[in-house]
Amino acid sequence: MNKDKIFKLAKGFRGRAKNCIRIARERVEKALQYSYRDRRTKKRDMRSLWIQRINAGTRIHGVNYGNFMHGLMKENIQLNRKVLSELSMHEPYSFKALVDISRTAFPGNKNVVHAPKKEGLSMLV
Amino acid sequence: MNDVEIVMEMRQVESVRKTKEPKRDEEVVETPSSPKREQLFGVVMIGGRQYIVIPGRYIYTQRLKGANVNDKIVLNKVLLVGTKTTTYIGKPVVTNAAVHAVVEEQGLNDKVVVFKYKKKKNYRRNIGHRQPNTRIRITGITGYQDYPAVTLES
Repeated sequence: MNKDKIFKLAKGFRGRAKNCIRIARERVEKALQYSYRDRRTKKRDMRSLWIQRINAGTRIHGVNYGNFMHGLMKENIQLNRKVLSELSMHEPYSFKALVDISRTAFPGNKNVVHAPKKEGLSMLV
Repeated sequence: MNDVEIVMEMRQVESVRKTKEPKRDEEVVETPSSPKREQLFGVVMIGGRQYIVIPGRYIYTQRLKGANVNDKIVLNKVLLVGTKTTTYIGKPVVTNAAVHAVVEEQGLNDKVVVFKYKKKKNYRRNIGHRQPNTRIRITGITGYQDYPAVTLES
């Protein structure tokens, strides 16, 4: 890559990395390596984020993530985790319907997890 | 395979596009009024990925080969349909349901720089890649009514 391209990519870097070519080239190359790597790790990171969101959504209804997914699997519902997490955020009623189906499909789900207790707070209030 | 970069979050891509192309942004502004009236959404499988679709909006998908601009397409792998009062949950698909869409543009994603480097081996590769994509505008969702629905009490 030529100088101009390097400096263009190095905009906003700290210290001499933005205006000394030898250092800028080093830093830009490293940055591009990171971005190559992180395009792959992004897929894993997003998946774990979706799982956290689904887990938060299902626990409101007293089911944990693993049992919820097992119930969906039994019912042959093939929504993926990206869609499920978005439903849990933006479509609470549809998501509740899914939780109910999962719960009936896998009776072990009943009373597995209790909704978080808020007694401590009610005592204070 | 390594060279084929796949941009994962459809939403991210959309947001990037919006900022870049103010013309289309105007189109987007007018559309949200229609889904608010109808409150209908679906989850549809296109090219191995699932998208939440709302009539009137557009989505970027992987390039649909053989589709020309202004073609009307029917997507029949509908996994879920939600209306204001009911949800139709497919096991795994909602039978007979279909999402209708119009192909608006055959384009390319933003460029990604594929830079490979191995230290001490004098090896570096600098390749640009633009993944082909297709923009489709969702026109409607039909055929889900006779599927057993889950009605919500509240």
